Amino acid sequence: MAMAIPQRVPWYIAPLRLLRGIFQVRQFPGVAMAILVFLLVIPGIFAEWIAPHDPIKGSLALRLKPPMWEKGGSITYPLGTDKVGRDVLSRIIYGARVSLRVSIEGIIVSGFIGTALGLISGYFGGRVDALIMRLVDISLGLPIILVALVFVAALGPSFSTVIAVITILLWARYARQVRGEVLSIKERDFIARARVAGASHFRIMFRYLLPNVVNTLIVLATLQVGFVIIFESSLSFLGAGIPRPTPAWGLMVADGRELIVTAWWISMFPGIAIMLTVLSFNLVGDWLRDHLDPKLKNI
Amino acid sequence: MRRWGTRWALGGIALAAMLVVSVAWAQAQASAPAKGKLERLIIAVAPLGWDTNFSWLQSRSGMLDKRPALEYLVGIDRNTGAYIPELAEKWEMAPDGKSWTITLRKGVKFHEQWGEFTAKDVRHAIFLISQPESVQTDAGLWRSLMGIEKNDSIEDIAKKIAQMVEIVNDHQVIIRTKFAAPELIDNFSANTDLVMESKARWDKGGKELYGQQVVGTGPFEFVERKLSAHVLYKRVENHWRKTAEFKELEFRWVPEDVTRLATLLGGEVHISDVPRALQKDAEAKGMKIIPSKRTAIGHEWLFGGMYFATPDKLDAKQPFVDKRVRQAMNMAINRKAIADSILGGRVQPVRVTRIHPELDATLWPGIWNPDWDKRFEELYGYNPAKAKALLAEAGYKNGFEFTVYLYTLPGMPELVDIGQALALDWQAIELKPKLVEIDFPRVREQYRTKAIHGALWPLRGSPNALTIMRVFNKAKDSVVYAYEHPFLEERHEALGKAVDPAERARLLREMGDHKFNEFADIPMFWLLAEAVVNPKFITEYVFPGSITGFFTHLEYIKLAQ
Amino acid sequence: MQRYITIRFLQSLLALFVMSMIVFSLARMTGDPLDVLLPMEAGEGERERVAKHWGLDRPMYEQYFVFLGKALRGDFGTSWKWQGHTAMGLVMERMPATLQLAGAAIAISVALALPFGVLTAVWRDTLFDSVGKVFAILGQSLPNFWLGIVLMWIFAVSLGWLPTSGRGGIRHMILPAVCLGWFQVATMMRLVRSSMLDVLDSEFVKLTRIKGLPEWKVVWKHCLRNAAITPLTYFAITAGALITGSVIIESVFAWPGTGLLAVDAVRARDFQVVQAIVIVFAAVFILANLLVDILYAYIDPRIRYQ
Repeated sequence: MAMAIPQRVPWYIAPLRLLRGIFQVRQFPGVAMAILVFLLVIPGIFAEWIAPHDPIKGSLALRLKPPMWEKGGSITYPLGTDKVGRDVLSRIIYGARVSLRVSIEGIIVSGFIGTALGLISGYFGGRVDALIMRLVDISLGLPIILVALVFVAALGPSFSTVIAVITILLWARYARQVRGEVLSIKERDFIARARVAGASHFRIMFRYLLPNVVNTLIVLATLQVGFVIIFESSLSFLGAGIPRPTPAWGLMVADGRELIVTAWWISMFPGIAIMLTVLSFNLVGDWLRDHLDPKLKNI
Repeated sequence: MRRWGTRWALGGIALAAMLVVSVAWAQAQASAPAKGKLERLIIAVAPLGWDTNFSWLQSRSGMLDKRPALEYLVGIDRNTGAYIPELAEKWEMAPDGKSWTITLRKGVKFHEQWGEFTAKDVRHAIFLISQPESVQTDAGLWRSLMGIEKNDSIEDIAKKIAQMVEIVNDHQVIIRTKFAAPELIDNFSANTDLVMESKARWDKGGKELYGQQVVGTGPFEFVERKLSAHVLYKRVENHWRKTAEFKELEFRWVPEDVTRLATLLGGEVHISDVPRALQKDAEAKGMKIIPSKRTAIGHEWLFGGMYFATPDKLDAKQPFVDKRVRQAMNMAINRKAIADSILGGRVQPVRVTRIHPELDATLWPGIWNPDWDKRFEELYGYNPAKAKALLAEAGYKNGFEFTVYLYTLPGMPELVDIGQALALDWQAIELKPKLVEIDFPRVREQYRTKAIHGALWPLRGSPNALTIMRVFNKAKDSVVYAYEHPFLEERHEALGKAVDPAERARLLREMGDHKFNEFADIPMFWLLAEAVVNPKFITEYVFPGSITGFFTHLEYIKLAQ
Repeated sequence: MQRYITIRFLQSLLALFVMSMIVFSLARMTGDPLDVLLPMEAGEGERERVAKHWGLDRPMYEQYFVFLGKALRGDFGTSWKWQGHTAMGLVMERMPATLQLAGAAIAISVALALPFGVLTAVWRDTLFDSVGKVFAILGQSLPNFWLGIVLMWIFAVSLGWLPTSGRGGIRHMILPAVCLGWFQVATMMRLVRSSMLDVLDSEFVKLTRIKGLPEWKVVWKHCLRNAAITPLTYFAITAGALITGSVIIESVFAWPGTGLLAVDAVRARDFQVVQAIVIVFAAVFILANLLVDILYAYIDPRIRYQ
């Protein structure tokens, strides 16, 4: 950029610059993390202390109350009530816990399996590699929504079924990425030296390869959380997600969808919660990727 | 850099201009007003379980999209739901109940060139529904009436039916049955499945020809079916019964509830089936809600484990086995609150599952016991205190755990909400219901094998006291094992022999009494079917609703000018 | 090179074969289709009769071999729910609708992602960059059925600019394609942006600048060409995501494509159709992967099979 010649600037430049500053990439993670903590972690852990009402008990007399700023709303139910008279705000707060659990468990399980298989595949190469990569192909080629529907039809909707489906969906991405990384560092000197020194395969993978792929894993994981939360809501839309009466954000949006015009608050607020959470995770993941591991540009 | 900037600005402006033009064009298209009278009447419906031209390869609820083209021997009056002559002018049952003589209407023509409707087509209709591959609701009934066995081939079937269905002349036919069927009129009425299709057409092209189009004698002629999109009909001019006011009729399949409402409000369709939760909004935006003339479906919740006539399946330790517990569960729920808040209040109470005070009284005069109305409040009414007392008396002071199955059934998307509301009511009297979302076919697997214990499951369906008793309350050779009892078994046997209608009515009434006094299940409501129409296009639509709750009698719709 | 292609091809066939077994058992895991397709009043005799007619009373392995044998000849059986139609016939009939929608969605994503990707790379770290990123990521953060319903309500009912549902001309395609495509914009934009960033800094570009080419030519003609390869290879994964998304969008907008067909078939436990759909999707996906791998191997000899 050319050198700017200092001149007198109009009055509106300063506030504009400030506004722009907030949107600078550097500031994003800060704002995003704050939203994340606010929306997900605090309610997730302290739900019982924060939520004003029981998320599962409701009463028909109180059903479909609008949020407090609308006519007919009241401060007792700040965000309104749903079809069976349950408080929307409390359900959103408890729903944070469900979203947390689903994403954490789903990503841990799939990440564990995917990383292990990716390490093995990249390190040993040959037939093992080919086999695992074909498994990856197959798993990526399965139309996951159909698989989810089939699983649920067979096993009944439950938390574990959702985790199982998420695992099947995600492990392959970890495996592929980790394998790629392993392939590129496998031939380096320090690995060869370790092998000469007599280190076992397991030790090499665990102590030498794994720490080098951790960065990748962190970025991937962060980026996947948002996807998992949206995926769970899609499953609920098709009737294959977390079963009632558990307050899960996706389930709340799906349940309120037919009333989206009359009782818009039932779907809108959990939808906004999903959006902000996922947005924050994606922004953080983006920032992490740019700063931790530039190699990951092509995810 | 600066030159680059100018190009960009110009490009941006051009793009914006294009966008504005295309949007304006789209808007102009959208607001093209409907000129003159309606040419094509479009109905938006939730997709049925089937999408086929074959009348026997789906069950009764799949008939909606074929009814405009097909007719029955006996019709249903659209105001009263009573039986009226349609393709049959007269029908008479023999004293022993084992044969029916039917006189057919003259001069009725099939669509296209398939000739006049005659007695051979009646025989053909029974043949179609009795085929080995038929999955129609009444298929089993017709097969047993005709004496067809499990392994009979198509030729065997044709032969047996030729023997049982005698063609006296072109316009008179005698249907003989293997056992007495005094209510058979219902099974060749528009309430059930015996549609009249052309034998000549079958002879010409068989199943393949039938697959291409739906051909019948109805007021609409089939034009095309686009799978999962729509079914299109055009009107028959100078139809013998009624010529419609509009030239074309289209059923449009729209899976999402909200989308159906949107299409109605947007003027793209003229009638829609909108769920009750959205009806208030439709009304607020100027649509009109037209309820059916008669109640369409009954709704109830059934107790699992009521296998009193099969001792080895009965689990005596289950709380539901105790009559007082069943009564308590009935008295714990606030039916009115549920009806008002979830179902919009347009319901009538069911006293005994699923006996209808008017529709069943037509077939069996005397079946209705006025006591059921009088004593319902006392025995089943909302009284949580008494419910708790009953529980304590039965030894369940601290409540007990049980399962409540949640699923939706066609025509009742509110089942899940009702289930949740009921669970809250039961929780209020210290019971511990566990909500389990499940696929209905899974529940079906369980009740087929008498394996439901400690659970409550909902159903909805049409009335017909005899069918209800046979399907739900019979211990052997039945399909839905809900509540059975030796008392009912005896009556079933007697019904198998009795032919006199008064006698049959008496037996059914006794069975009703038993169910009422024993709290066999949890009766809920009779619901009307509701059509939401756009009054700008439609001024009158009268339909009985008793035909599997669907949009029938479309040919009588009066349009706005 | 030949050897590489052959081996990969054989492996793909193997993958397809395994897929068929998985699909077969998965489909049958869902339960008994008779419980769905027979009316409630059907008795035991009825069930036996229909089960025999559909071949459901045979042991599992026998059913599998019958299925496999027929499948190799392209016959995936007749549908139980859509009587009178063959399973593969149904899939092929509905495929154009889904492809049309997917095509429109990709077109929209590319139309948005390409310029945004390039511009955010050129004007990196500015307000435009940040806003662009947020806009794209927003597309990935909304549950698409919710977005579909809200957009439908705004544009079709309140404003009346577009039709609400069904398949028709271009106007019918706009809303569903936007809902489907917005999801992909972020990833594509990111790819384009990072590839562009790489290329913009390279020696070759510096040379062209020194040569005196106008900046826009440098950016659009030379950089983009080199940067475009990476996003292209991402298409294979995009296809999978589009298929997943289309199931939901097709349901909301009543678009008669294969996604809707699949959901209906699973619900009705129509095994034949479910098998046909999954195998077709899988075959397309595996084929796409194979082509991409071969393309990569052609460009970069190091990646060839060890």
